[in-house]
Amino acid sequence: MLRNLFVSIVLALTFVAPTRLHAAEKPNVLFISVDDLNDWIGCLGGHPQAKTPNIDRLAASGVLFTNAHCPAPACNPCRSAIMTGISPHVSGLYDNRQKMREIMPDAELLPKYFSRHGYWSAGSGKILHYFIDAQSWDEYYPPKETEDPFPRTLYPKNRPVNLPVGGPWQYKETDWAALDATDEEFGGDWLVSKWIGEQLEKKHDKPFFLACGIYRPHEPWFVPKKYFDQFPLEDIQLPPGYKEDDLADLPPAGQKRGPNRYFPHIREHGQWKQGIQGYLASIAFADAMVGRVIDSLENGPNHKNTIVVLWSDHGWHLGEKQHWQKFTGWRVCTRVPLIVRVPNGAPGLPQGTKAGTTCDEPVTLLSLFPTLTQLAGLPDMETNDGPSLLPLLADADSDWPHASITYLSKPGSYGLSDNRWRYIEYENGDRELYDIETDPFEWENLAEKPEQADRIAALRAHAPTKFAKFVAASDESLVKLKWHPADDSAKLVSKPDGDKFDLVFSNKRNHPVKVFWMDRQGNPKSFGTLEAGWRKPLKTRPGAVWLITDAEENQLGYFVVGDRTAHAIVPAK
Amino acid sequence: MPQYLRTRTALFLCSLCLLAATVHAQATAADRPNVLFISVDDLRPELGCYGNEEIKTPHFDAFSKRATTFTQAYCQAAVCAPSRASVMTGLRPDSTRVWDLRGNFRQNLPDVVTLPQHFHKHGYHTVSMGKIFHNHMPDRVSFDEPDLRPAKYMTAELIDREPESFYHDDALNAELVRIRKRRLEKNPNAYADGWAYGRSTESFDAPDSEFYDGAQTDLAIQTLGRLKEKKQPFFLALGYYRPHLPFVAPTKYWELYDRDQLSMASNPFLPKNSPVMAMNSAYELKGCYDLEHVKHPSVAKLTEQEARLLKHGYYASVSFVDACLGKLLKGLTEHGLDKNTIIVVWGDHGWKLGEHGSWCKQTNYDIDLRVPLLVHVPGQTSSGACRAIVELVDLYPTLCDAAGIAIPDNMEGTSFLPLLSDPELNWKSAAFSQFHRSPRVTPDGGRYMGLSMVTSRYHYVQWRDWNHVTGVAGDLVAVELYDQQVDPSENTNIAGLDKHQPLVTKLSQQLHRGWQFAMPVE
Repeated sequence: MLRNLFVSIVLALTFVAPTRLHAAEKPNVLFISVDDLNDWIGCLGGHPQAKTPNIDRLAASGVLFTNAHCPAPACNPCRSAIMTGISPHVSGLYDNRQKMREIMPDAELLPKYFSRHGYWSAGSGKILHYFIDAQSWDEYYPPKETEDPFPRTLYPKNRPVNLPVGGPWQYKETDWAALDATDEEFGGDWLVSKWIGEQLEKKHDKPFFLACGIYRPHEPWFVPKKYFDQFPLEDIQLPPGYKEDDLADLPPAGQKRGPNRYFPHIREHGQWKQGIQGYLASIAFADAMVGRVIDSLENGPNHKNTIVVLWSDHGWHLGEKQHWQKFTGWRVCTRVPLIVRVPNGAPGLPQGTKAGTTCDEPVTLLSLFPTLTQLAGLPDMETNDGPSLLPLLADADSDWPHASITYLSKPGSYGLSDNRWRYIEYENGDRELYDIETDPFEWENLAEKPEQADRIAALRAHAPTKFAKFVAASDESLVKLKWHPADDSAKLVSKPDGDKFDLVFSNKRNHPVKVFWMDRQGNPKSFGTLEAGWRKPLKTRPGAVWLITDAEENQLGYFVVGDRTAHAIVPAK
Repeated sequence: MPQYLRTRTALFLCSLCLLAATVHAQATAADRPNVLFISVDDLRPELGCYGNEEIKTPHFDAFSKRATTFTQAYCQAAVCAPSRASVMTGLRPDSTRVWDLRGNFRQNLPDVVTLPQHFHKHGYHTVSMGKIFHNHMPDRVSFDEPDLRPAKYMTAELIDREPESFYHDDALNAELVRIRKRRLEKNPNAYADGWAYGRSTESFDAPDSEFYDGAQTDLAIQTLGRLKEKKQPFFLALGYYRPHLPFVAPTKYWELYDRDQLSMASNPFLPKNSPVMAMNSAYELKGCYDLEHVKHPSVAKLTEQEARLLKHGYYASVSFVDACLGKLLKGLTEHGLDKNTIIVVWGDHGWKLGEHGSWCKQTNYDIDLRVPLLVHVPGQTSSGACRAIVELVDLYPTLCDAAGIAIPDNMEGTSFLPLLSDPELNWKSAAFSQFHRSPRVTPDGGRYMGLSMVTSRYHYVQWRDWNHVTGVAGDLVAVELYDQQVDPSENTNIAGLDKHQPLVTKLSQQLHRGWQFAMPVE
């Protein structure tokens, strides 16, 4: 008995000791995300004026993927997919209105997975969609308990600065301006890169997984003046992918997806070039912040043992297809920078990556999770939906049978790239097909050409046939609309402007209330009675005003609808 | 052959063919039985012949003695438009895509052949009066003579009015005119152009013929006299408006009952453990201006006085329709047509008179899904009750079968003609129904589709999220299970009990397999 115990202990020690040793050899991971950065970086050539020397330097030291696409063209579904390794069409998380932890309450995120396998996981800045998810990290800056990933950031006192508000539909951050401030005074990403740099310059007991979330060039495009100065307004060139009349051959769903309110509004106010300038300046700023992080790594003790990944969550339209913003299936919106640099000795790729490599195979950011776990020699995560990029990191020309799929906001709609063609299918069956080799900006839709039928069938064969249902966010997680108590002096007039969405009314009073929509003249239109404790979603538009009365139609208060779906709670008292 | 001769020969041959076709159609059609197709709006199977000893329905009872009375007949949706669309097309709501009062099958299925259209194709002369399809969508193309109205209601002023909302007392009518004005000011698109309704009840002392259903009974008898002269068999559809709200009936039928002595619902409460979307809001009562204050049954109940008034009015309306039916069937006999006419009397869905604490129809509960159905075919030898499960969607193929004409192959029901000779036959294993619960009336603002299946013992309902634009049911949100053997009134939902989970699973699979797997096996 005793003898057996002794043998067991010896055996245990024998196995534990080398494992520990092994853990110490595990490579660190520096995981850099840049928000809303399209292919306007020097090494991808998306815009001739883009200045990104630091990102270019990183690209030149590792593998640059030139045909990488996001899993979804919006922050929330994209970042949720990357961090869980679960595809939107599997999870049902398709757009920004949904809540990751409502849809995937138990999913283990990349940092947690590394933590569980002996890593110290830390992060700073925007990695998830406006929350930290404290349970997934060992440390965060700002502190994870706050669930606010943003350090202090300088904003202009009076806003908007350059782009007037076009209506209630407009996102309040769509604006640009040069700030008379130093990087340090600006804060934000400078503070993120500072904190990340401090971690990189330290020696750590454990290998680290360090996530750096650079927020620019996400709106608002406010950055210190020196970055604007690099792009004189008079020299600004329009986006190379812009073509005035490239909508005609789009199917109805594409025609609907393209033009939005922003672009004509921006042009109407003569702000197109200013907007481009703001985006280029924000990219240059973001690049400088990335540079600080890379410098810290290179100057610190972890340089030789750290995998570096840089990615952006999706692209951006600056007028292409008459669109300004994201959320589309076109390449300008789905193509993203992706750079991977692996040092020698990484368990999954002992020879490391070769500097100056470019890879043109179609890849997706869903692959980041399995790629990183394999590089670090960790067991595969069963729920990962993307293929590991290891074969391509080992040999950029190796056989790659996959296509890259970007899931759009409605189940069944997606954009798909192989190594030459780009195919878009909308939920109503509308289709687009482009030959990226000859038509990189997707100006000529070939989907209706009979000779392309086989090609379309072959491309579609890469796409799933089943799509998880869209799971709406709970009332509790919606933005709460401000309750304005009745005020005789307030003129209650709706100025509806923008697309329809749901407004969820909840009556917390102990008596029934009546709900009225105020029309443009200020006349109430009844939407019925909401009994005590009842709930009712109603369709509304930005700028609408909803009046709440008691059963006798005495005014109790009102709501003014903003730019997104929200929860309108009639308070208890 | 010269050109003109060729043409003449062709014409001659054509005429011959036409003649032959006509002669052939007449030769076979003339032997066929007529069809008298009587629908009664909102009539629940609470008649003397269904075992109710309180209600006075001597003519239904007499008719049941020469008919088969189906005690387990179910509608496919417990509200007019989808139920009637299903009956008249022989298709279920998911096929007609009519799930609620807004749906119009003729828009969804422009080329569908309705029951009377099919009879027309087989040589019948088809006539309708009253409510056959849903109000405001009478599908006039369905009949050779659609929508006959008593002459009195053919005036410019009344021609577009729904006969539902006619009152007789001048003061009540004046009141309705005022109410309507107020309604239209609030909402220019008010339902039924603001006419629905005035007061919830009217007892008026006048002959039956002064009331719409009485008048259309007279018109029907008169029309029978005209139709019997035709060489073709006829298909006469007559839709009675009562006992639909408002309960407007001659005083003598009100006087058959003592309001204070009427027995009220034994279960005036929501079923225990029932999900939030299961119950209707009884909003229909709010259409009556004396009941505008009515609320969802989970919020407030009617007063005893209101409940008694409504039950009294419903009973009076049923007795009134009973008298109309008696007169009509007598007229049929007097015209000598009774020996060669198929007679079917059906209700489009049930109705709650305080059961489950609620009123009106629009649920998946037995009280709203089970309907009266009495069928007589010429030469019928057997009569009495039939306990087999049948569905209203079966009417179309059954009538074809009884008339000896082809049953279209797209039917989603089954002819139950064999049950008329042998009511004990092993028949359908389940009846299927569904109801669209609109977010306007749910406490949680949700939109749901309730899928119901009644078997010989159990009633199983699934409530799913529903997209009314695509017509696609989504996630399962709630389940109901009632054991009709021990809980015939459906007062306790037992779907949540652990011990019933194997049963729930089995029923769920059966529901999923659907009606195709519930058909009678030879």
